[in-house]
Amino acid sequence: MTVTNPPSFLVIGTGALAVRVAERCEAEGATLTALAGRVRPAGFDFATVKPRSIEAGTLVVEDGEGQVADRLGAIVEVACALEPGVPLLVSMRDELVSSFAAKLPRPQDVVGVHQSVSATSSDYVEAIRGPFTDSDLAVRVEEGLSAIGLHPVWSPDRPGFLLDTLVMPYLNQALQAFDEGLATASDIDLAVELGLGYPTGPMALVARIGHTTYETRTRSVFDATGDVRFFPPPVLSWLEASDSQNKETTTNE
Amino acid sequence: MILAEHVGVVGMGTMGAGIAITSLLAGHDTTVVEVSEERISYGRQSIEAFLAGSVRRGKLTPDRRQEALGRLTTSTALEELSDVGFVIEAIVEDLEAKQELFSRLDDICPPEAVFASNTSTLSVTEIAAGSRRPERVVGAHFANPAPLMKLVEVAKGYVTNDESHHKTVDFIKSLGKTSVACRDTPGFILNLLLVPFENDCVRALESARGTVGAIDIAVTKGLGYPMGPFTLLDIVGLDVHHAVSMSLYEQTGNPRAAPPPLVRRMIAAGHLGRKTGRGFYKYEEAGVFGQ
Repeated sequence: MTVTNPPSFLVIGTGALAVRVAERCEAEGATLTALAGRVRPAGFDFATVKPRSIEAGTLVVEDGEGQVADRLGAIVEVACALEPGVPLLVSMRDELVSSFAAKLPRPQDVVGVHQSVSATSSDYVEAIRGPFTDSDLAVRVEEGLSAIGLHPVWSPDRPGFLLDTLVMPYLNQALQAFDEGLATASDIDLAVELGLGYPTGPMALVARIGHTTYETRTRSVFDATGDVRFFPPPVLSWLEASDSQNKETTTNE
Repeated sequence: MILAEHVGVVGMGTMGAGIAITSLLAGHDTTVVEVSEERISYGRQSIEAFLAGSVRRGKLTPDRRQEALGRLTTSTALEELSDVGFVIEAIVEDLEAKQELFSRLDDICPPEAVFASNTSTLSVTEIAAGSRRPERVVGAHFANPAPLMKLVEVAKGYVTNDESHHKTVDFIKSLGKTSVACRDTPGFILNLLLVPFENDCVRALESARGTVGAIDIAVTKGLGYPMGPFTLLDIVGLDVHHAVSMSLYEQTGNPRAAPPPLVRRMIAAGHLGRKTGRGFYKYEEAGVFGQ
């Protein structure tokens, strides 16, 4: 089975990845069927689309709200409805493919997809093979995502996946150095932007992610690995409090 | 406005030559001192090649190139720096060597001269301890390649006075560059953050978290960085990266700064990067940046 060119996608859910896949499908002229929410709000629901009639070579992206564990029932329902060999791409936050693939009817058809919290491009997608993922199917997934202009990179099925595990220790060190008075936040950012050519300095990047969101994500990797590089620097609490104060001040004005 | 009409640069390697180029192009008479005629010849060739390339690319007129070269003096004698207002050292990254240099310059340079160190990983305060005028020693770390990058990190040592700091900032401004103030911390901002990040990427490769290509793509496509860590390390050279990592590790004790075993193995195998034709990637022709 090969991926059609341009490929066909069935998108289920309203998460950021679902939205991006839908946008890229429209931009590239790929066939898109969307089943929920703001991606394509009218005219579809899961009961009427008849997944078994999905054309061969379609990629199915499931990106419901919340963690995989919270939506596992819905994912199982989708997996049961698909023909064998149709790739099911499950969007993941912190979970590993190995934590749920075996609970699905055909784990060899399952690939995890993850959008790094650190990524500054919404076209960057990490693809994760589970322990049973079929190799040929994995190739089709990569081709399909690439065909609509996304940049899939294979990541191992480990906590933090790829990009976050590279970037979070760097961001944490920048936060710690700021806390210890190395330089002002703006000077740290200016040095990195001018000296290394990075589009965004570390302090601005963490602020863009959101101090609370970032704290949650790096703590999650720390909890899963015990690796101190991911321990959230204490200054994050101070920055979060600062954010709240600023928000309150803005609201009161 | 900068006082220094006559600038001294000690060391004519990649950084010294690069700093000399920026000084020459800014209109400063510049004397570069190296330990041997052979190294002077190599450094002069680098400077001439860079300026010629700038003319070829239309960035510099032939007249300006000639003017810049006319302001260049080279020597193996530190005594040639007897009337400079500003000296920048870009010698080997070794504390004792830098301390000894400034100690010798104490006897040669005018009392009002500012001594700047282009150290990337050493403490400015410790370097300044080698001079009898530590209040006039400043850290001024030029981003590499110096002629092209806008950034200079400026750090005061423990006893550096404000006047020397201000003169340094003014001098950097005269070069058309931007200074960023930071505390006297090994690695300043750039190397403190970059070197451990690069080592993390090498460790990710060692632990099969990603391939060379996947990690480079993740960093360039995911973060928009101009190049991936392995492309950059091949340009820098694994031997240079190892030395900087070791120095930073010894200074800070940060385990992320310690060079990973793979770096040592690649050095042992002669895979130093672009300059040997093979590093994390293979290259058809060996060469260094700018050539």
